[in-house]
Amino acid sequence: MKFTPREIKENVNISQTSAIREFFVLTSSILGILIAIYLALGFSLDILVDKIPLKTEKKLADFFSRQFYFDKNRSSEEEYIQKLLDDLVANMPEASYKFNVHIVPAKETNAFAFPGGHILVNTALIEEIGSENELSMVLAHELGHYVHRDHLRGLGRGLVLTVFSIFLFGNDSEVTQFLMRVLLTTDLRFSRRQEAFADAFALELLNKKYGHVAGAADFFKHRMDKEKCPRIMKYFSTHPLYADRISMINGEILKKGYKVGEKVPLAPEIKKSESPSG
Amino acid sequence: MDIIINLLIILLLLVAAYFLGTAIEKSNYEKIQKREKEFLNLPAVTSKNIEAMQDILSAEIVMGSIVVSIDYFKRFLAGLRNIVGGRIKSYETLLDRGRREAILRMKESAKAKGADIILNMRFETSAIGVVTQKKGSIGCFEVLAYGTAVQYKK
Repeated sequence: MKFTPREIKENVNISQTSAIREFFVLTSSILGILIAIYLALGFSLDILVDKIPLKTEKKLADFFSRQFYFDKNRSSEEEYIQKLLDDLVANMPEASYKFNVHIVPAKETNAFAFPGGHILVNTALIEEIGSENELSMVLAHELGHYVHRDHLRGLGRGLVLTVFSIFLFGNDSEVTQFLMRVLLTTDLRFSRRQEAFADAFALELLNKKYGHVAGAADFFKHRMDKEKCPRIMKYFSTHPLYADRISMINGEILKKGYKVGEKVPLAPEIKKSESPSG
Repeated sequence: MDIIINLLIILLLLVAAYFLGTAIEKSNYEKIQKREKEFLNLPAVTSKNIEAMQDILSAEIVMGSIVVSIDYFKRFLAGLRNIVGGRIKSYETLLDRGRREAILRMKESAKAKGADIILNMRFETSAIGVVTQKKGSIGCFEVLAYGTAVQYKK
């Protein structure tokens, strides 16, 4: 057998395809599938949330209350707000569990509805409050979130996002974080609709308790004076712009024919670090 | 915004890696083909012995080894492929180049020893410095070609 050297021209080990084409096909299909799954989960969540039994929610709540340390010894401030809340809940036939108020030291003017009926009120919010009616409105607004089960909805979507980011790209991937930002803003848009629902609910509850709705829009008026929010931020903001909310509340008052009576001043239990500026 | 800047950096890296990587690969292939022609008269076979073996003057081991890494673009592409599965085509050329280069280096050392043929040629491939899914790990691997360089009695 004689050896004849021969050059091999073709190469069967290499696929003759365009890498660029593969790149675009892969990225677009993966993105598409991700968005489809996210939307599907979002919709199924909306249906599921209304059907989640109270028992399951309690379990979830335990998990969350373990993350936050809730002080057992209540301050007189907390007691007062708790009494206010209990009065509101007494007017609420939908109430299915006990609601607890917790005051949290934080600079952000906000209140939160956590699973299990834990309502967190920031100290900065209390600083700004001018009347009892105003405080009741804020609490009633949070109660509205519970009635519409928004606290679970927000949680579910957040959970879906977390699962995505960790499983596919890892925690610290830039691509994932960008995706999360984009998807999260659509979530915030949902929330804005939910905020409007909660506002309407709060107004009704306020009317039931006091027989009138004085001070309902006060909180948003204070907020509007405090921060001048540029128009461009509207899309990214959780709460609808304050001006929009004030006009919505006023429209609702006219529509339902609520009365506007005398405001009740805050109890002396509420300590202010500086003299109230109004 | 941080996210936009991060995304732009990734995109820029991808574009740069694509063009640089393609150019380097093309010139690399040209060199490999040219050298393969040079070594055409030194066969490397996988059989342990051949019929009509001539009288042997010397026989010793020869090796050719290369460590290669992949460009950012192709690694990104492979990462995407990892999610859906299928052939990781972007790695094919890298492995092909690695194997051919390893053979060429082996032949080079055999030729320096005055060999007429390389018998019982084998490949070893191993990943180096790869930590799966961890950021900052360098994905590269070594291809080792080895065989027995045989010199006939003339």
